[in-house]
Amino acid sequence: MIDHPEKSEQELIELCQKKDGHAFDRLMRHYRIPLFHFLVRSCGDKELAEDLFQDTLIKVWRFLPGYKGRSAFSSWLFSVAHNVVRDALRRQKVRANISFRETVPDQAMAHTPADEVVADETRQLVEQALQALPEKQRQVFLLRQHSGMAFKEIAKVTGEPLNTVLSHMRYAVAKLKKCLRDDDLII
Amino acid sequence: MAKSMKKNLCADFEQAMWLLLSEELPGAEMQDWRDHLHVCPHCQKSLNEARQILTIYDKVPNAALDEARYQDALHIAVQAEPKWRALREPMLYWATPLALAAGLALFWLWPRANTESLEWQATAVENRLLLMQDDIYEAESLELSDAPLAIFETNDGVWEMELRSVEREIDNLQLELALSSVNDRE
Ligand SMILES: [Zn+2]
Repeated sequence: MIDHPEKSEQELIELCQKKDGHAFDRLMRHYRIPLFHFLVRSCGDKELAEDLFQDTLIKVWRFLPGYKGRSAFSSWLFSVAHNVVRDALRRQKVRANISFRETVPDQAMAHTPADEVVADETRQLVEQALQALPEKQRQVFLLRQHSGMAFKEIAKVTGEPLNTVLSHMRYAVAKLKKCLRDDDLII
Repeated sequence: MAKSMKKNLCADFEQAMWLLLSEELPGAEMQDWRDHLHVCPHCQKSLNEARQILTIYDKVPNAALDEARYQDALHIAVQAEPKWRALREPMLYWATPLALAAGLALFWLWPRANTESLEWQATAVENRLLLMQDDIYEAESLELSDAPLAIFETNDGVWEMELRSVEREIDNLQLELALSSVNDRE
């Protein structure tokens, strides 16, 4: 795709607001990896994450004309994704019904067979620890790690006071730490 | 006295640490915490551990999205249209207010509504959505067909819609509410 190769993000957003599909590709291409990673970690299931990715794109395309640029586009985008995840969890009761299907890691990230084993073990531990977290703690942690949003923005998106958001982050990291420590992955 | 003040400071650091790590604190406050870290091995240890966990997390491999799947998602997104079908009347457009047989109405939120009216509508819509969801779950349990349908009756006629589409519309309304408040609470 070589349409709009040199356009800025703001220009691409304006084109998307006028329903330019090529501009939408350029814009989404930039965010697709962190967005998909956020969704996979949110639901713990690659196939479901693909569906949620689909839903997120549908909603972004539909609601983008209402984006006023008062927050960073990445924050706006992840708040759409956050809502998609929340709705999916509520409706499908994912956490209750899904018996942790394997997510297939990106092969490009593992280097040697030995590294792969360690990385895979860590990945499984981290994913299990994340799924064991209460939803609000998990979402705050994942929004922070994958969207790069400031905690003050996360507070806006989740509708929680800043101190509550910081507590969610604190407990999420404490539980991850305990999980990694129990398996001797950290001292 | 000094000891208890330090204890309070250390307790506060458990929260402030995250703002320090994401560089969200004002300069002076940032410096105060850096000064505290110089003299407090306990908080220094907490900070190092938090950094270590976040670093490990960032290095953990994650699933990849296939290019073909990405292209599909993109294609479907730009072509997606809500699907409504009237049983006895012409096409009903998705932005039209609709009522359930129980008499529950959905409001459509105009994006340019002022904050006060938006908040009022938010509460009204939320209450209706809660009621409507109860009805939808009931309709779903009737298993009207393979793809469960919701039947609506309005003054203009009787309508059917796939339950999935109704749920999607409710999600969209809630998302619209959430995004409006992100936009307005600047
Ligand atoms: Zn301290």
